[in-house]
Amino acid sequence: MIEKALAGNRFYWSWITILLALVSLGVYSYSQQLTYGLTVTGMGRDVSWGVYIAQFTFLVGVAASALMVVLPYYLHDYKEFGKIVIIGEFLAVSAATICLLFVIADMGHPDRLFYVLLYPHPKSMVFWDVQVLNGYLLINIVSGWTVLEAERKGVSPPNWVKPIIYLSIVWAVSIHTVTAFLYAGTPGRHLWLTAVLAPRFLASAFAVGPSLLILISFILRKFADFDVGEKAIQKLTTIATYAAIANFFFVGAEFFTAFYSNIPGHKHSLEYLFFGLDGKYQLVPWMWFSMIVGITSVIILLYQQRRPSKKLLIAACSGIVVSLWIDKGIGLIIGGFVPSPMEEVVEYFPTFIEITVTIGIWAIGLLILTALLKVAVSVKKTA
Amino acid sequence: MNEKFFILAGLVTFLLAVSFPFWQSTEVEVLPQIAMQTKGEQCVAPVEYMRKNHMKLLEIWRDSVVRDGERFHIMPDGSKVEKSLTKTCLDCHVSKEKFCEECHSYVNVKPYCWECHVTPKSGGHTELSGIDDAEENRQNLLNNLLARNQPLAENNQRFKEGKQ
Amino acid sequence: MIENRRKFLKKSAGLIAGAGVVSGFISKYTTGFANVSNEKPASKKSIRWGMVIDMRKCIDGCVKCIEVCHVTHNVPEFDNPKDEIKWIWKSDYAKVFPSKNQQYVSEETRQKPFLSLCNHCADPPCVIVCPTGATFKRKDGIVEMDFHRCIGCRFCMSACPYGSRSFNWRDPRPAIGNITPEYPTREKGVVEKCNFCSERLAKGQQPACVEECPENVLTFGNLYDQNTEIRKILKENPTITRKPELGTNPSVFYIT
Repeated sequence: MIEKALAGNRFYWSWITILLALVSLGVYSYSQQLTYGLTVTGMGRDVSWGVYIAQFTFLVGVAASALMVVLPYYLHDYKEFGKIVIIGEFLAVSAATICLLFVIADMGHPDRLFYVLLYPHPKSMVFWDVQVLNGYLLINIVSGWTVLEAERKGVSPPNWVKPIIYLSIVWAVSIHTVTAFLYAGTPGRHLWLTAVLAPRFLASAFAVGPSLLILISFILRKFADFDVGEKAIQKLTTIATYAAIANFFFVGAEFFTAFYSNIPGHKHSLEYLFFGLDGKYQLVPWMWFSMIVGITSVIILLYQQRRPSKKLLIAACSGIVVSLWIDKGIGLIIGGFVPSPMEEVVEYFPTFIEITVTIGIWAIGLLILTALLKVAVSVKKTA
Repeated sequence: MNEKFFILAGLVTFLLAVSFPFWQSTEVEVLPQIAMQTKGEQCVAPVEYMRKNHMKLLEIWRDSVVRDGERFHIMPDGSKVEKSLTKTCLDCHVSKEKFCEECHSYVNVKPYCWECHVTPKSGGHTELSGIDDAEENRQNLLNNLLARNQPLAENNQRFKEGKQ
Repeated sequence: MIENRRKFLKKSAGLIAGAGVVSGFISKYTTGFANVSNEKPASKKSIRWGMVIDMRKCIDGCVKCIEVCHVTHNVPEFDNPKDEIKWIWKSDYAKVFPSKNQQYVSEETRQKPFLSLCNHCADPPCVIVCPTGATFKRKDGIVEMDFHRCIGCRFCMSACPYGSRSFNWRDPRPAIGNITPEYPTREKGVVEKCNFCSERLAKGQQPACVEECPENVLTFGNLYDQNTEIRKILKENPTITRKPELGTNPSVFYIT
């Protein structure tokens, strides 16, 4: 089936070439990082996690969001999702893969990568994150590929695939919960030390994932002449809307707890992010942009129920993705480090190398997604 | 017929490439000459064991010292030596270049111990491995300290005089 | 499918509920109870290393402890502040004790730079989060770093509530003045911090900072032994620790 990814038109190959170019640039930058150490990034003693871990956090959500198409289709027989399930699963595969790549890119000693498996420490959330992420990747590759191949052959999928798919439903929740626990269990970082972090992560994941799927559906309609169906897009819109509402509700709840209780530790990070702290306000425009775009997008999405408009839908979905990318990545990760445990405000600026490695890894993810979607679309069109 | 030619050519090229290391070398093979130790009667373990397993021993020592806090190895005659590559092994085997690197460069092995552990000056380790050398240790540290930061050193002098 | 779905939903609800209960128990047993005991535990551990810092005696401008520590352990000095590595340093009262009262603090306390270092907590969050066990708690209470095992994920740096840990963002050797040969340097890509001079303790010596201080600001000893000087000081003086509300149970005490 993979040979289907090797046949394409001009647009397809131009796209692949651009991605490969971005990957090469990323590889070069990463080689610089390997030679000189992580000093080539903008991270430092006080902000010790940056863009890489921010992407990782965001992408785990994207990977987990496959649940939103798998659950209705396989558990609730929602036949309208028939064409989009495989796209969701393959999106999860590419997202999970580049999650792992971002973690590796962030490691100070990537040659010791397998120590996480050789010297397991079950108390550590990173240990569990590695396990569940790899497991999820495997589950989705196996189940997605098997079902697709069965479709190509014109037979029903083998019986053993069903339990694996059911497993992926539970597993999807676990990958993002474990990632949230990574942050929510650290006693020194007040922005993260909240029980609502795991629900918030899931809510934002279930908003971003369907939004991305809607955008991908429109792209496939335009460039691959493949239509997932109006009903599917409508249902995804509904899911994204209410998940986004839940997410902003959680954000509001965070604000309330921090500012109503007036506890300095709880307030400071949010103050830095939204109002500036100690004269430092680098992220303030980003956060307000994220909030305004996000809430506006939610309103547009709600309005879609009354008067659907394709252009507005695309705008709103893009808005949700961008808004939550800023909120989860930049806001949460960088904000967690400011102020430092010693109440110092140190700001973070990603460097050129950091940005190019990030873009390179994103390009790898898009390459994988493109190839897999090419296969899926080719099979589904001929089946 | 065209295909046969290319296949054959490809095969020959491949075989030549793969056997390259064997036929290209024009150097006379020089076996490593390990410098014999200049001190001590016996090593921490028998020679045959060390030849095959010194890397394993160092790993065991490393984990024993760092993780279990057990710093001393009991020699067969009951005496204690520190489990230390720099302070014990290279105490007897004197030179990292003449002993370790002779074989390592021959077989192209690059252990990265020396990225962190400080190579002792050849001709012997530094004198400060003894358990009784606390005072010398302290003096050396103070000298390092003074050499490193002159203005502070003046402060130190003042404090020391003031105290005494 | 309907029958299967109902069964599946019932089973998974039960499983999740069960997992929730079990995970509550697991976290209780794996992360330790909050039993704060000053008595020696019944087990074989007879040492708990601790330190008392008497800030009343600490002289403004004196950095001998910092210098000797950094020289002994080959701690590099970089120009760029974001690459900074420090094992022990001085900082303001408001920064070292942000959860303590900041109102009407005496001018002297407010201005005096307080010593800050790894607290070698009895319940260290950094040890819990380390995926490979590169940072671990020894039987004598010291939170030790195994540089051979550290993968440089910096999770411990996020978990430490005191900001005691530094990462080698670049190769440290060029930035070390005179290398002390007895102690290794580190390489880029690993986290490091104060180790209570465990290599000196093994030889029966005091930590370098304790020995170097001209004013006896630092007292180091076995917290489990009631007859040590440190226990005497702790009994006779009011002491505070950093962020006690977090349950880390630091082994470093301050007299302000």
